[in-house]
Amino acid sequence: MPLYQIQKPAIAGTLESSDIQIMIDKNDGEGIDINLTSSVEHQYGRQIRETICKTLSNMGIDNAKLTAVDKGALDCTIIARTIAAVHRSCGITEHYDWEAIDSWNV
Amino acid sequence: MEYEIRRLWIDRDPRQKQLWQNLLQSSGIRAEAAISYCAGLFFEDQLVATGSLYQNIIKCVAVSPAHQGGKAVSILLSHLLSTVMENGSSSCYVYTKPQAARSFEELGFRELARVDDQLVFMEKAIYGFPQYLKDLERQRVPGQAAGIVMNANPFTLGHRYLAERAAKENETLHLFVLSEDLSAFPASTRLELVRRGVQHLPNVRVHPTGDYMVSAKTFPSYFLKEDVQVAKVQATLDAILFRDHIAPAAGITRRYVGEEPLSPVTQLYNESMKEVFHGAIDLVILPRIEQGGNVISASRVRDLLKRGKTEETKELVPESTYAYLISPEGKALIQKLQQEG
Amino acid sequence: MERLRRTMMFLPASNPGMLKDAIIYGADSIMFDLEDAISLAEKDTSRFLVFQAVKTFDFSSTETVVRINSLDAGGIDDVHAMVRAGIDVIRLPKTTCAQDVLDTEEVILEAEKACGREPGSTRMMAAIEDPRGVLDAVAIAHSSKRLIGIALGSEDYVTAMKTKRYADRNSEEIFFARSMIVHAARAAGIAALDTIFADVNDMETLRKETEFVRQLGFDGKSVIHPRQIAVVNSVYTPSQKEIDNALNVFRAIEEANAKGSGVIALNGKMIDKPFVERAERVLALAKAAGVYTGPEGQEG
Repeated sequence: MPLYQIQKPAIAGTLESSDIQIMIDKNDGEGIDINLTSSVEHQYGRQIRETICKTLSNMGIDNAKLTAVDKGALDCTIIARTIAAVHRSCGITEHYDWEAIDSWNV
Repeated sequence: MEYEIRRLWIDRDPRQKQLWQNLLQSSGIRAEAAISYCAGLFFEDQLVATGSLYQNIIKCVAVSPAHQGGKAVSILLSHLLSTVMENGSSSCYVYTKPQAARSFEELGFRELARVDDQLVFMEKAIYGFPQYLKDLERQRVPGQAAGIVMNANPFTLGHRYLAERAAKENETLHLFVLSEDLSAFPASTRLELVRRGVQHLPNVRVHPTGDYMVSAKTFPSYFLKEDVQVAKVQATLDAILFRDHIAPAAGITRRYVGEEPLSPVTQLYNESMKEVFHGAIDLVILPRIEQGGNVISASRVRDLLKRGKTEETKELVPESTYAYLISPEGKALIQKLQQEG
Repeated sequence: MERLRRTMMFLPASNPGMLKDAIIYGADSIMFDLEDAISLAEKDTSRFLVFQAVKTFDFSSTETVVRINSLDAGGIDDVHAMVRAGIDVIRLPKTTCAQDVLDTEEVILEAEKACGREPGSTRMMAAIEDPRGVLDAVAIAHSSKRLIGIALGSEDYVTAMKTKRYADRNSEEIFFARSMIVHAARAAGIAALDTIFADVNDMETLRKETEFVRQLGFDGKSVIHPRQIAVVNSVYTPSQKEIDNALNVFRAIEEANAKGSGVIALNGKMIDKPFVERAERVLALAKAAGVYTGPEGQEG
């Protein structure tokens, strides 16, 4: 059984400048589906989606439905918010696997 | 100096309530009674913005002029959204002025319906309305379909009559039960009693309304102009959502309602539907059935229950509802009703 | 040469915008706060954010510090995340005794081993925020080789003392605590850092307070807003006279060395170790402030 199992809707991040707010939920067998709102959608939309997808794939997540509102977040913020949302969705609140988290470079 | 979010205890602290009301008033917004959580945004110890929740509905958002267009509103909204999610809801709603719709869109809200230049109803959710409609579409059956929306608080013979008529006159009947938990009977119980009560009708499909129909009780009107008839706007919004989204998804072309000559609110509601549906959906208004010279209604049933006359409701509700009323769970609920008076 | 710690800027760890801009304000140290500035609901997200930020951003020569939560309230995860990310200093909140430092040190060592960092490479700092800690300051300051300094956190301290801050009355209510901390730090040979000044609009009182703690011997002060940095740094900037004196000390040493003389004198006074140390410090502060760029004194 994979370590990270999306279990319930969860949210991480804010709508403030330089941040990204990510909501995540199950998407049974339907792959990764990201609904992105961003003021820089044209220039960076693809890159933002890729960063989220790569992080999810690093975490072994193949199915998830996400809604993201980007306010100009840097990659490291996108990664941090994605990881946080997944942990919340999985109900993990302590004893994080920092070795694994450290290895999820995008 | 940083912005700081603090909970406002408007129900317990008159001073905080006054501050809150002053800010709303200066923004041309009325205070609402139906509020379950109120947040204040402070800057240098001054209240500069506020926003409230009623369950998963965002209400009464006001930002003082000096702090508009900056980060105040995004801090406030982020906090409210996180609070909604922490409370276990995965979707969030806002009813707002059309002028404010754009800024909510930038925060990830999408428009569900709009009433002229008066109101926009918006949603932020992972699944939300598109998924609700998709699920509805899956239950679509070829042929003539009708729809009924009811609170069923609880399900009576009157409701059953309406359902039976519609089921008989159409190939399929989609029966929507209000999901809002504001009634004497909890939403899950009401839904279950409806399901049991129409079990004998094979062509009836029962659905919860989810977040897509609100009662007048929670309908936010704080941003509407004083002279606007709130009930009318609410009814119109409901009718538009039904006409443009729910009915097409389920293939519904007729809507059945019970006549209620004595209730001006219901009458207004029916009139609004007639206006909105015009040509798109047939509105069928059926007279109410009577028992003992009076129309059967859920309020009559509740009244009897409150007065300890459970037995007399036997004539007003289907067997399935009555069986619930005399079950331990039903008795506990009746007791609660009586205590609340 | 010890590192300068005139200003340690507090940054709430929950805000990506502020983390991104952390080094542009010119504080000597940046302290990411996972503790009091972060609501319970955002402890987890903030930890991930700082973790990625410390891994990703180049903080150049700015010292990175993180204020962790107590070990029983998420602090263990804080330590593991931050040591792995490569933070310079772990700051303990509410240190009441030497054992608090040792307990955290144990977790840090464990974390260093887990991620292959050199044991002992992560430094520590202890914030003393209540009367027990103040009275135990000497023991705390000597408790670990990892300690680079101790700091006073006055908000909790004054509450525990059943008083409050009186910045307008020379802060006499924290005079004893400041004295204890600066003594303990000097006795242990580590840095002493003063508490924050809460009113970000009152630069005048901030300046006076900073002048006072400099007079007591503090290395620097914690700041909570970028605009406080310039004020504090300027107080710690040596005057031209101080710089000249320091330069003269080194010129005298040079001359004595050239002559092969064992005794160094300047203007008829013996120059001994404290003189040299003070001169080194003056030039380091002057360099950091950009008021002196010369080569002298680099070797001491």
